This record gives sequence, structure tokens and C-alpha cells, in this order.
Amino acid sequence: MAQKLKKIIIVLCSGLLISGYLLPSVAFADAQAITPGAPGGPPAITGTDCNVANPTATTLNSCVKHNVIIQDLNVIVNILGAVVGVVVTGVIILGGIQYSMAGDSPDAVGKAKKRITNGLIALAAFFLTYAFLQWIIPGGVFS
Amino acid sequence: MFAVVFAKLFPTLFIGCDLSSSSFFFLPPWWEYLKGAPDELGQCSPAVNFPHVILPVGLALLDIMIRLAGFVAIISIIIAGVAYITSSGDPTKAASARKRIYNSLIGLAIVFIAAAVVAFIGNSLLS
Repeated sequence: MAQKLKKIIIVLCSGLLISGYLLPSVAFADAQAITPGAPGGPPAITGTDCNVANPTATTLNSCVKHNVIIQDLNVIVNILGAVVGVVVTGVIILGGIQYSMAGDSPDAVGKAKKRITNGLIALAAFFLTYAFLQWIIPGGVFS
Repeated sequence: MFAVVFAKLFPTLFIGCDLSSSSFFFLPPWWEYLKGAPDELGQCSPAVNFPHVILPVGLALLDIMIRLAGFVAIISIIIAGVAYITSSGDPTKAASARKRIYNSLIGLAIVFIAAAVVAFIGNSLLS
């Protein structure tokens, strides 16, 4: 029961987080896509058409850099980085508190150790995701 | 603890009216690192704009948790000390109390290492 409740809370929180960010940003991105080169928007792409027959490395790179999805992805990963950093540190601190409260029972110490290990695994998973995105998008998008 | 790192990272967050920093039982409020803005009643309230407040609010929560960890460890050590005093020569009771003291110190060390790593990474991001 507690596990189910935890899962529901996590899904709700992530849904709120994603919808709260994504919905306004999509509208914003559309407005920008209509008028490239507008003040505040991305710079206009001059001489680089993404549909040319033989794209050079430079035009392809510029094409990727000005892609609306990739620009949004950049912002999302940056926000996610802040969230992951804070949450992982919070989990490790919680594990430390649990360790302090464990008294002399090995069971409670084991639970605290497991919590800290899980936090570190989450951090490793986030770094792997980051590295995967950096690898799969040509030119390395995240600056 | 994170205040210095934070003031360097986001200098614009510290411009605005003065928020009253009331603390409850030595714990800082969650708006510790937010800047204040006058609301419609003319009073100073924390300015919250969604994606940018994740880090300040999260760091304030971490600050609260570090202080809580300190309280918990100290209380646990006091309990263990009382158990040690009242063990009256019983080896198992004395060993249990010693184990409790070791565990609280290990927990405190874990908390402070985690906090120090975060502060170190924040500092190295600046330069």
C-alpha cells in the first residue's frame, strides 16, 4: 500500500513538473518558429536550408542548433540537473539521518546504507542519460 | 551553508525588498535564498517564478535537513551516553551503547560529506 502511494505521488509530481514547464514552452517555441530572427527569438538562419541535397557539416550543425525541440531539450535537461542534484543530496542526507537513528540494530543500518546506495545509483543513471544525449545528438548540444 | 555559493551564482536573486527571515527552532524558512517582492498588500513576500526557484528552494530544504541531522545525531549520542552510564558493568549493554555512538557519528559524517560535496561542486562551477 505504501509502495503504491509512493508511486502515485512520484507520477503526480513528475507530471505536474513536466506539464508546468512544457505547456508554456511549446506555445513560446511555436511563436518563435513562425518568426525566426525576431527580437528575443533565435537568430535567423541565413543560407542554411535543412532540406538541401548535400548538407555540409557546418549547415547540418547550424540546423541542429536551431531546432526547436533540441533547444527545449537543453532547457529541460538543465532544469532536470538542478532537480536531480538537490534530490540526490536530500536522499543521502536522509540516509545519514537514518544511520544516526539506527541505534545498534544492524537491520536499520542496512536500510540506511541501501537508501544511500539507491541515491548514488540515481545520480549515475542521470549522468548516463546526459552522456547518451550528448552522444546521440550530432555536434554536442549542451554547452 | 550554501549562502555564499548561492549569492555568487545568482546575484540578481538578492536584489529586492528585505524578507523577514524568521526561523523556527533554529531551522531556516524555505524562502531563505529567494528575493522578496512587494505584493498587492504592500508587504514583502518571496518572489516565486517556477523553473528558476527549484535550486534556491531545494538548497534551503537541504539546509533544513542538515540542521535536523545535527539535532538527531546529538540526541542519539546523548541517549547512548545515558545508556552507557546506566549499563552498570553489563558488557552487552555497554557494547550496544558504543555501537549507537559509532552509528550516530557515521551518520553525521555522511551528512556533512554530502553537503561539502555539493558546496564544492557549486564553487567549482563558478570558476
